[in-house]
Amino acid sequence: MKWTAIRPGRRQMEVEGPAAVQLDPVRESVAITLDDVTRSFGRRDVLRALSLHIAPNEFVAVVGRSGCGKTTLLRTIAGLESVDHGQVAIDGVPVVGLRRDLQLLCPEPRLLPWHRIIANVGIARGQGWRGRALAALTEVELRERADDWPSALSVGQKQRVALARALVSRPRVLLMDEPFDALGVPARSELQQLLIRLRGDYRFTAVLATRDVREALTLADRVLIMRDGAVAKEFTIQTPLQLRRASPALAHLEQSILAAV
Amino acid sequence: MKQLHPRRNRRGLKLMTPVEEAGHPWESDLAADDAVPSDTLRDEPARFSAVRLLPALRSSRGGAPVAKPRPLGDMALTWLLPVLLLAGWEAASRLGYLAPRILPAPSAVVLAFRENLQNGALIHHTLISIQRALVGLVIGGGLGFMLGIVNSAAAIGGKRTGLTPRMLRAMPHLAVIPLVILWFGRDESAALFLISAGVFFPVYLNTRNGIRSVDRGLIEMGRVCGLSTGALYARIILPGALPSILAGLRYALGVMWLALIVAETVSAKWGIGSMIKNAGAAAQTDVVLLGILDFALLAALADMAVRWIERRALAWHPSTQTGFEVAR
Repeated sequence: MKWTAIRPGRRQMEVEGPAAVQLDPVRESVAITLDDVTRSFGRRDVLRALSLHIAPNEFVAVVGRSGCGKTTLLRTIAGLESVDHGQVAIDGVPVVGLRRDLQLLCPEPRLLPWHRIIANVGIARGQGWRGRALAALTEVELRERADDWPSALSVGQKQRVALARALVSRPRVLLMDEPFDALGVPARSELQQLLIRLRGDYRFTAVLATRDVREALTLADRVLIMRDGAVAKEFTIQTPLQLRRASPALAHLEQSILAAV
Repeated sequence: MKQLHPRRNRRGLKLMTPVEEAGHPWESDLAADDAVPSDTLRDEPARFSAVRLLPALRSSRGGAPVAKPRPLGDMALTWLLPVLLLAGWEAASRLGYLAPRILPAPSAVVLAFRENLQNGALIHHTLISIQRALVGLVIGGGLGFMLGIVNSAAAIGGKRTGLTPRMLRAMPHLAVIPLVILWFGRDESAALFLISAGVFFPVYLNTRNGIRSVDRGLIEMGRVCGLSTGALYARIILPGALPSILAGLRYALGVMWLALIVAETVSAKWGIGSMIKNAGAAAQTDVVLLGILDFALLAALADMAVRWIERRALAWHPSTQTGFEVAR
């Protein structure tokens, strides 16, 4: 696995105190850089000369209407789509294919109906997968459903299982493509709170594509407005995550973002 | 009404759990068949299942809410016609209205059965036929399965392949018998070729189509999670294609019996087909009928075996899960 070998000096930035030293050194989060990325399908340009830097451990929300290129952006970062021009790099290494330290959450949970929940979470297997899968299920509060078939779970629970499956490999990059889209309001806010809690423990760099401005404001450090395959505007959110629910400043920001979309 | 019914828990241990639905595993399946008239042709052999023929058993075991307990008169009607038919047939034979050359009396078939069972001929013929059918199934089905995987592997990678033997499939394969006899002679290999060729196409096409219809999102998920190609097939692609593959296998079994009968009638010295042919040449209609019943029994048993495999392998499938499983 090449990403363990080639690692430019990100370490000085992360190691600040005794707490940071205890972290698994391989599992620090990483920066994502897009440089002048262009991608077209046929005659349609989906990404147009898009440049972007996402800092390690940052949570970026990409907001835009359907068809503005959010999904293509995520798939390009994931290495599932090639680029026509420009370069995508994670941790300074150009992305040429799939990386083991990157996980992608899709609008649909993509669970295997012929495997129990536990086997779905530990799909990658490997040594001690059962214990790690159980731990991840505990994180998403679904440990007691480990031996159920996926068909017995609700949509929200399935999406939480998908999140657990992503967490098992301790990803350094977590890409989320409208993961809350099919969920009802209670399940949605439940999963959002879960993500806020897990962010602190897992230390991944996150990119969330969404159409829901409020969702972006609840979760993200920075909100990018995407239009016609490029970043049209961006807003940095200073309010701490815990205080966001009732913040008047955010209500104001929501209005200006809605105007920008 | 609840009743105790053995079922396996997730660790494979047999448990006695209350199941509100039908008592016997076959039973719900058959009820489902009734609801789908288009399916009945394919499921014909299953109608020999004892559970279906004995509706009285169902109600006496505590009742099944799915199928309403039938009134006694209804049940009598079900049995009346076959029994009357048999009795009329027997009477017609004894009274000389039905020549034994045309159709033997039912009692004559029973006698022929006893005789052929005692001299070992029936068992021998049957075992030869089963062996021939299985070897043909393994060769043709194995080739079809492997080619189906190879052919769809490229499609999984996003490429289209041109190898579609549509014309070969559309051709009734029994039409090539004269050629097959010229190639192989009236030999065991001719029979095996016919059976294998007949089995090959349903297995091949269903494997290929099953694999192609596996949700691309699931395959992509597997790749994102870092599965190797082998693990991708073992955990995602083949399980996803399994319902289709098993449907192909059941269809292949039907073709297999047909090819077996034809091949044995044409070329073999042993086997149920040749028994029927020789008996027909000697005007022993009772033995002919015995052979036909033997074939029917084998076909029914084979179909039940595949259904059992389906039930075991597709336990995850919503259609095979009981209310007990879903309610949790």
